[in-house]
Amino acid sequence: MTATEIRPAGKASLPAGRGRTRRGGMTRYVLARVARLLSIIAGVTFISFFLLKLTPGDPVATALGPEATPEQVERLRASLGLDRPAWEQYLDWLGGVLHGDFGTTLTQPSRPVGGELAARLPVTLQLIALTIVLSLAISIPLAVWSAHRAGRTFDRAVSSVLYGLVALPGFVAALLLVLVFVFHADAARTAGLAVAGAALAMTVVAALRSRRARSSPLPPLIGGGAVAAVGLAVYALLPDFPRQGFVPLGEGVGANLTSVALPVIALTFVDIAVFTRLLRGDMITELAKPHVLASRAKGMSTAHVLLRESLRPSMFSLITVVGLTIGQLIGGTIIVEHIFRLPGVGSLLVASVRNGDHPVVQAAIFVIATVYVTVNSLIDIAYAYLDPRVRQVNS
Amino acid sequence: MPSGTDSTTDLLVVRGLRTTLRTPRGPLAVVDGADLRVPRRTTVGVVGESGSGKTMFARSLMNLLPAGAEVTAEELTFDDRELDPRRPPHRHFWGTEISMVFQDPMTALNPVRTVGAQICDPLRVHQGMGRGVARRRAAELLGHVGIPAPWSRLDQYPHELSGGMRQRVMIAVAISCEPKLLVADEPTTGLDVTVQRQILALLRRLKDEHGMAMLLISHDIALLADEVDQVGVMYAGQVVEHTDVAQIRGKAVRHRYTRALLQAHPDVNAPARTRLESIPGGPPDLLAMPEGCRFAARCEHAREICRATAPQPTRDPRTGAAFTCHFPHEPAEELV
Repeated sequence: MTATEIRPAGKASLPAGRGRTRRGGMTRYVLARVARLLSIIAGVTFISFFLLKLTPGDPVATALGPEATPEQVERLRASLGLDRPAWEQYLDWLGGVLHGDFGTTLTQPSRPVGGELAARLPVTLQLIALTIVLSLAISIPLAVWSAHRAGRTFDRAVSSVLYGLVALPGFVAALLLVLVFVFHADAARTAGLAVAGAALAMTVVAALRSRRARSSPLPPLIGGGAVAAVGLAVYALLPDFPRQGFVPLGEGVGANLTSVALPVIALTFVDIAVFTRLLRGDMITELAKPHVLASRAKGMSTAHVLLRESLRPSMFSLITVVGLTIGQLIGGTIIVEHIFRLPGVGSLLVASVRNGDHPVVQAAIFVIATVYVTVNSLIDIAYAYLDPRVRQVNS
Repeated sequence: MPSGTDSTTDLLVVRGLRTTLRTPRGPLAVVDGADLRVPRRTTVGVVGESGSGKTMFARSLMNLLPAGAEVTAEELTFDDRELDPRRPPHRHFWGTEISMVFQDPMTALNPVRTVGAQICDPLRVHQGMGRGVARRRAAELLGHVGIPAPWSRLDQYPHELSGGMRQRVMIAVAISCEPKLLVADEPTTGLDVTVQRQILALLRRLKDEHGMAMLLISHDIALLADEVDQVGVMYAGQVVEHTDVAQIRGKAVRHRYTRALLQAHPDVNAPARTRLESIPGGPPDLLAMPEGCRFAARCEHAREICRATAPQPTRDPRTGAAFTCHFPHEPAEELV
């Protein structure tokens, strides 16, 4: 049993020293989470190990090819310990994992599985991290401002664009991006300049008009300025994106980023749409609550009301979905990995399943399960950080 | 109007306040020509049924309204300055000139921020205090509103406090920047009776100590009778009677609606088995307001003129009370 359940629960046990108890509650909460996390990972490896045993075909024979003699197959099987009972093999494998040893690939020439994964994992993790960070960086400001201006021009414009994005699957977005930014990069630059010019002209007209109408010229100035800035950036700064391939971070940050930029952008489209819609909705609900009115009555600024009072309690659904999205992306980047020929975990997993390379599949499942469970535990911990009431329920 | 009505003694003067909300059924005048004066250092109670517009009246004073609401007024003067009712005041006005205590202490505090942070907000924004100074002042304020061990409360979250404690915190926030007018909108809703009395006593004490004026909004006329100096009675978006609390206590009110309200309240000293009066019907639909007196349909004294013409504000020469009624109640009737 964890320490959590032995200690009496509830606030009755809390002494006067508030700061320390609160942090103590948090630590216990985190420890309980970690214990649960380890048991889930162990369960996943157990089930996947025996499921792989049930798959048809002899992986050893497949690995050695049709020309191998039965003696060769037997010898390899014995040297891999595959002639022993399945539960012994599992314990062996688990023992190896605890020492950081994932065995060797069945595919000849045989290499350490750990090394294979270590080469692939950074690519996938970088894709996921950049996708999530970029999506959040775009969707949080959009959602906050949309919620503040719910039903008005900005909100409606953002909503229409997002409905378009959410209908665009990742692989279509990827192909479109390649078409525009790789094969017609010069046309894209020219279009950027044209858009910037048009936006500037429209901004001037709109600003003059709003001055005549005695309303603030700021909204058209900011909106038009932003569009023009993006257009100019496309014109002046658009790098030459490689059609495919991955440049490791070690060979230069710039080259690395341009090699992953298009795949990441393709992956963000749907996420931006989903995150923004979700947060906007929750934020509108939050802004209607009495404590927001009370905060305005205190004379707090709009920025304070939006960011300090409303954003945090509105984030629950968002971070839940972010966690699920990360889990989905570990295996789900496969299509984009394929289009851009990125050496990620997704493509390794598919190839290994096809070749019946069980040690690699087993290790990949272990890694994916670990990342998935870790991320979702972090999300659970984030709930407690976001809402003090969760801490009390859990401790 | 009670004695002493020249303009400089009035902190707040409202004349012809009209607030319309945008609704799917069209513009809705939730406050429709309300007049009220709040003298300095005085507590004025506003009483009315739910839907009478008392909360919207209070929020209109600060233009703290939902999107799409429009406020107009013939006159809105605060502290001898004209305010523009149509747009929100500068935000440094909120909290420092007028501040507000809200109906439900359970929801009016942010659940994910510590009590200390929420008290420090106005101190830091309006008075430019640093983090440490604001925190010290916040602890002082908590002590001032009667919260024991204030320093340890600063790091607590609202859900760790009782309802009464939370309302005390709200009050600490409201008085933190020494406002001239404190608007308390049903400050004791959802609190048990003992705590209600404590909160009202606290408000009274703070009002006296800080020389504030107070606008106390309630649906309970008996509760107001114990707490305030003057009472404004709201009905269907208008203040139908504004009188000294002495008239309320002595049941010497003039408007038929106020009279009916008082009779609808149980009296502990009444003989056993006395039938409790009630006011028949409900308030009129704000979208289909009658031509004449808005109370006519429910008034047992209503005659033809009541249904045809709206009564004009009248002043009782003896008490100074202002009321709008064609056939006002004559307190002498009682004495006969």
